[in-house]
Amino acid sequence: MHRDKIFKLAKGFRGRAKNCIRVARERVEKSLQYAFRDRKAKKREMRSLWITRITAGSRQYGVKYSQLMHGLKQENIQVNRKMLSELAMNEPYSFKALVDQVRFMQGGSSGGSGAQAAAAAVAK
Amino acid sequence: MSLARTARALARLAAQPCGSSGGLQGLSSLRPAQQLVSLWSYTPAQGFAASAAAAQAEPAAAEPPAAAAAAELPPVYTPLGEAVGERYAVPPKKVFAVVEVGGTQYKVTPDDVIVVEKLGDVDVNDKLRLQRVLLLGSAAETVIGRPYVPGAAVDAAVEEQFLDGKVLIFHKRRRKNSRRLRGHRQPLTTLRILDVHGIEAAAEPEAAAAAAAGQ
Repeated sequence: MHRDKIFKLAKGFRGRAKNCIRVARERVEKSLQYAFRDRKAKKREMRSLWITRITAGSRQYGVKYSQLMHGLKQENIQVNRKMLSELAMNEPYSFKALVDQVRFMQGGSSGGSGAQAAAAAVAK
Repeated sequence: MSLARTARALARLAAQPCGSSGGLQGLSSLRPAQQLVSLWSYTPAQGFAASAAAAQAEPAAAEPPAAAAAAELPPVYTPLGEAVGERYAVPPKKVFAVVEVGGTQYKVTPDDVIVVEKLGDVDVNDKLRLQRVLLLGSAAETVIGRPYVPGAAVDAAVEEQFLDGKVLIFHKRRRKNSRRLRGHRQPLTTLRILDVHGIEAAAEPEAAAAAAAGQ
């Protein structure tokens, strides 16, 4: 019973690891350990990918990633990196709107967080 | 920042035309609060010029500090108390919203299906109104919330409440005769997006003109 479970998890393994229980058991245990570790690593890698995409999108407009994120933080815009990368890929005008907003706020005058709270309270 | 400090900061701000940002002294040239009101909408065709002109045209109405103090977080969702019929069709609409549910953000448009962390107290076929909208977009304009857009909402119907596939968690201490195996299934909810409130879909010729001008 347990042996069948091991072989089910060992599908696609190379050589004797998919057919012989002694080898398969070791390889399957290792694969489960890697899966645990990589479920955590995947989150890190995805974030790194999003940051790369956001950098690419914002540098089109001459804004660095660090400046963009700093500006968004100051404005209290909480769209996260996953969404920003989505926008940069699929909604270029909205992404440009965010970049321009940051540039406007930094280039003109730095917006105050108190001022934004007042603006946010006004019903749209 | 505490409620009292926010209120005091906003009182200071409302009193002066160019107030200091709450708590951060020493920021150079600041903008009066009133102008920020109309910077919400950015039109690619016109940029900020139109909204800036509109801001100067409007009489600056000072926000009473009491009303503006301490923006509370909107609830994640409010039940609408209606149920969808057995078979329903959602007309597509060329708007999207970035909505926050269960700690994650999703970019949604009507007739989308999203899988979110389990929402308590909902049944299948319930209609919900998702209140935490961070961004709205259409072909002609983008509305950016700080952090949420007030008055914007996304309607969704609950399609399914289910358990995710089993994930095996395995730990082994080598050469120590110790291993531990555990399974986990995360409860999830499927939502189908019905409607987006707070933005109008641009009419086709206007969208084409805006797109052309925006380039």
